[in-house]
Amino acid sequence: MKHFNQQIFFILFLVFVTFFVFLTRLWKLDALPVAPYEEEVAVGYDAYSLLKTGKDHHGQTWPIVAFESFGDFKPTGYAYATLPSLAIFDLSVWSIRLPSALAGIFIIINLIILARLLKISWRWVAIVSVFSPWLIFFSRAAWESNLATSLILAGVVVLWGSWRARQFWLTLPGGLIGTGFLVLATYTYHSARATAPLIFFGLLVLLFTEYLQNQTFSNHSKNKTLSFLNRFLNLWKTKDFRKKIIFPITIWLVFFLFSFWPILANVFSPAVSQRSQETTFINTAPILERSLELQEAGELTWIDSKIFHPYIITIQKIVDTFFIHLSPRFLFVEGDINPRHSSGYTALLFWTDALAMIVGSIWFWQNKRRYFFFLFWWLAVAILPASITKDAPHALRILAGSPVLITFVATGYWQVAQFFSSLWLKFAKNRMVVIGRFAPSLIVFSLILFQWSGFWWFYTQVYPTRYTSVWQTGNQEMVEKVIALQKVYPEHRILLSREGGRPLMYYFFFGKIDPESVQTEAQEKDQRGELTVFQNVHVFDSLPNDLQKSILVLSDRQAQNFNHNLAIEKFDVTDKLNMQKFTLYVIN
Amino acid sequence: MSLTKFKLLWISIVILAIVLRFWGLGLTPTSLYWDEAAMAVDARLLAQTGEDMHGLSGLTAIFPSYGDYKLPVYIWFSIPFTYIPVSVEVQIRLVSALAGVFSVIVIGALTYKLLASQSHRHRQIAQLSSMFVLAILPWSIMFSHTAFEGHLAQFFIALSIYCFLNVDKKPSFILLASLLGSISIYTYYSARFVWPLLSVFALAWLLWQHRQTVSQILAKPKKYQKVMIKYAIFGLLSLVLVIVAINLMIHSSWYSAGEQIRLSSESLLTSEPFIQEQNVLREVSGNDRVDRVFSHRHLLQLKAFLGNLSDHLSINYLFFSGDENLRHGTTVFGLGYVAMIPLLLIGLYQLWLKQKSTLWFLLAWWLLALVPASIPTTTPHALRSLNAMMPFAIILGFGLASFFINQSKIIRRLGFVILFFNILCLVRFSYVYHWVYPTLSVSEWQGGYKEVALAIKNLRNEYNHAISYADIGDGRFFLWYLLYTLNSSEYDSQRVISENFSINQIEDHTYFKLPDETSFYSLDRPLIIATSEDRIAELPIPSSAQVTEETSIFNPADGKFFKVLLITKKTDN
Repeated sequence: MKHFNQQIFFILFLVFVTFFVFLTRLWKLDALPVAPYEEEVAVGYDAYSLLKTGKDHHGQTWPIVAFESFGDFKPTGYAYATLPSLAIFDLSVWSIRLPSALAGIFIIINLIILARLLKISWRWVAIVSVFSPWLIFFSRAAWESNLATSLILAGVVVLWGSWRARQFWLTLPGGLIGTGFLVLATYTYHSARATAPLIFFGLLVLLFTEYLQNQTFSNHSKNKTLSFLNRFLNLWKTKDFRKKIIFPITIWLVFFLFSFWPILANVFSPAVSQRSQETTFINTAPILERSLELQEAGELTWIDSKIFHPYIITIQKIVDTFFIHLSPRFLFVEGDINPRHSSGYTALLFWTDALAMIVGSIWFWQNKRRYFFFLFWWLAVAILPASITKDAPHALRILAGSPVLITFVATGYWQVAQFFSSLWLKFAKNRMVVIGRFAPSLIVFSLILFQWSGFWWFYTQVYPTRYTSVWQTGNQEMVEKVIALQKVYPEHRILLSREGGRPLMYYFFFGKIDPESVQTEAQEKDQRGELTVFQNVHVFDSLPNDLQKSILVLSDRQAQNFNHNLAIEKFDVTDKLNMQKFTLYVIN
Repeated sequence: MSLTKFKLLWISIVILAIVLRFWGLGLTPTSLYWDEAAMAVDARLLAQTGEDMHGLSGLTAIFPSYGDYKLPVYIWFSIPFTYIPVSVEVQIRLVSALAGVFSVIVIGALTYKLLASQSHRHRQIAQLSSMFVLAILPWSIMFSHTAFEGHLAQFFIALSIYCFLNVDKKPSFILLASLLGSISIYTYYSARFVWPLLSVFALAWLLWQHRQTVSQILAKPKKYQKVMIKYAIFGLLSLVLVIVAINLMIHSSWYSAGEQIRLSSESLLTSEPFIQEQNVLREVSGNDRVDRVFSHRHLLQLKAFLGNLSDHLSINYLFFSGDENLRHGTTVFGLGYVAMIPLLLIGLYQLWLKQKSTLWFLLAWWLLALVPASIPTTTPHALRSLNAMMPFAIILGFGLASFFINQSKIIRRLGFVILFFNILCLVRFSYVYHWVYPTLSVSEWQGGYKEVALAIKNLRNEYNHAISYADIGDGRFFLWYLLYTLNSSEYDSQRVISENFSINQIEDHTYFKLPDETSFYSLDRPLIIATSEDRIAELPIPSSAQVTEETSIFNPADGKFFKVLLITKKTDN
């Protein structure tokens, strides 16, 4: 009977979780967020171009490290991941978001496996990760960071899991696959280039210490009277050690370095360094100004020049930025101020998660200290790349740390529920054991569910209409209208206003322009490397003087100041939510 | 630890605290802030005439001051110090500095008391550690150098809590505790909220500590009748005391006016923005039942409150940057030193392991102290959350102590390493605080006002029948005028004209406004005009008058100059 109950419970739980996974990760994927952001479109079109021609839209054949894209050198991983779904579903918002959504689902699955590896409650991990607004948010748009996080997590899980198998023939290739995932992560997102290798390193240290803990046969290597070096040499002499540790780790390291080499070799080329140089605050004016301000306040003595040296200010700023990412306001109350990264209604985690995180990390510290150190290292190196960047705190850049926070939070909820269960069983003795076992879990769960409902309500009801501008709605409608007009006025030039973001890329994407013609006919770039002219389509920053024979696309704001006497036809373009975004003029 | 060693350490920590608090007192920060100046004026006038600047009795629950309705205790306490022949700045700030020193002593006693279940030696080490931490804590040092009522109030609250915790020794301590609590209520407004709740927590902690005794008493109430009656009498007496004290304040004639001012400032209690947001959310989402739940303004208010509260708990605020208001922090240092971060974590964890009840009590104290600071919109706020200083320092102190009470020698040595780093931080802080911070923050401390007041004084000494016109800053310059220009004996509160407690005119020789044309008709008496550089041009100086003397004083608030002019009738040479 009991056994039967447990099975029923297990199946019900799986059905429940699966339902919410589909609801939160896949339902209305192309309409929530309401429209594709320019980066999504750019990655999607590059992938489309690769699929059709084997070159990106700048004409590079199968780039390895980065696409030039808008001159910001996007890592290639996401575009390659999009190829299968593009091949199946053709170019559409759905097909470019699908890899991210699948990555989001794999994050949940891998977190559950990670929970098994850490020997904690996988059910709570499943619940917390399925209902996590942070994960849901980034899983629903084509975010490279989400895919990278999924790959890092998969790498850790596969590597560690195959290690746990304790079968040499399984460990070695399994570890290679895991390492492969970690390497793929470095090709997918900028900050993963630092994070993934460091997590890889941390994991190897963890496995090494776990081996030392478990080995029983070579006690002489634990002899504390010997020096560390001697103990290591003793260990080295054992065949088991060389076979189970040194050999696979060497293989993995070599594989890692070999496949990571293209990035390492390009560290100083713009393909790798461009993005970090753009976003970092190191060596920027504010640091120097602050340093000077303090030095002047101290009357410029030599002490001031030392203690307020720009280096010192920079270090302080790095540490400060690092900890901003752990500030409770950011994590639990408000989230990222950029509405593209966070709903603003709930933060990355829920209010109650604050308490759960404390309990969970204390539990790890007390019961699984080695795992605690590993997870802590993981979190720290996930935040590290973000802590040298401006506009911190940044929910997207530290997404790689989300598995750690979610594991801590889930452990916290688990332990809190356990604590109250045991309290109940202690005081209620044998009366109503069932209530004691389930009621605390249900109460804790309903807390999560209530807060998630708030998030989901906001995300589906308010978010799409409130933040249309950050998701650049209306571009699809604008492009469709432009293409319709092109057929009526084939001789007219098309002038697209830059105010709409990256209109030319939207034109390629929604117009499904043949990539081959883009590669050959679009040559003109602005200083950063973004294409601005394609055939007779031009992008302008300020209104050109010569408007004759053109189809002019102005943003709503620009249209208000535009003298439209010249126009023979005028069209208002509204987005999906009937908000006016663009105005089209046909000028003879 | 031997008694002499303990005493020696105790005394040297107190001396360290005294040195750190009295070093540069009155010089850093460079000048007085409005509130400080107003309190100094009242304290000085009370000492000499027995009346405040508006001619009201000093025995009042609320001083109208410059129209912000100040509580009296800080002013009362600074009256005796006005007889000491030192500068005004030192006189008014001495109370705060002394409160800082006594806080260091009180925190030691509190720590010893709160670690009831530890061994005597461990409690002593914890006592010294927390005293040391508070002695070098930037938060405490900074507020000991300024005359803010909040700093005095936190001292009284802590002392009162200490008395509460000693109730188990003597029932009369309840009365003493409530007396001190009432004083704290009369020192700073937020104490009305913090102190009563905190004393309930203290009582709860005490009952938990003596839970076996309590259950014994409950089992045989008759046996303990005598003691219980004693406690009951003292409890009732102190309740009466507190109620009387609060009633006196509430029935003071200025109470409601003061409350209005405080409630009108921007805070989460003003519901308009939340109602607006709620309505927007409902409009967008369709306003059915679910929408009404999730868009409810109380939910939004709660969220804003939690955000404000969590601002006070972020590592960045506590240890790196502190309050961004330059009056409440240096912006280079946080409330504690960077080297104290491990102490916080270790302190919390060790308290969890060693004495959970104390951890809960301290955390409750900390959070409770943050509540009044989290309701206004300017967060984090180091001044309003000063009541959190004691639990914060006790936790840090216990973190430091747990190094020294560890069995392992290596860890004890590590304790000294951390101590060393903290002292390095202290040295750096002292340098920044005394040499860099004054220049950095001069604009926040009404820089230049004092110099203007003194310049006017110089001119008045020379031309003692002159009429002065002063229009400096936001119309509170009269405080500086009363403080630095006039001798208290010259001041007669009956002969001033004021509006909403802001003085506009003193007798017929001083006006706190710009002169109009009529002032220049007869220049029988020379005019002294003090105003900002920009407004000189607005002066309708007739051709018959001339500027005889002109003094420029730098105004750090806008980087321009204040001008003090002496205008006399033109003499034909």
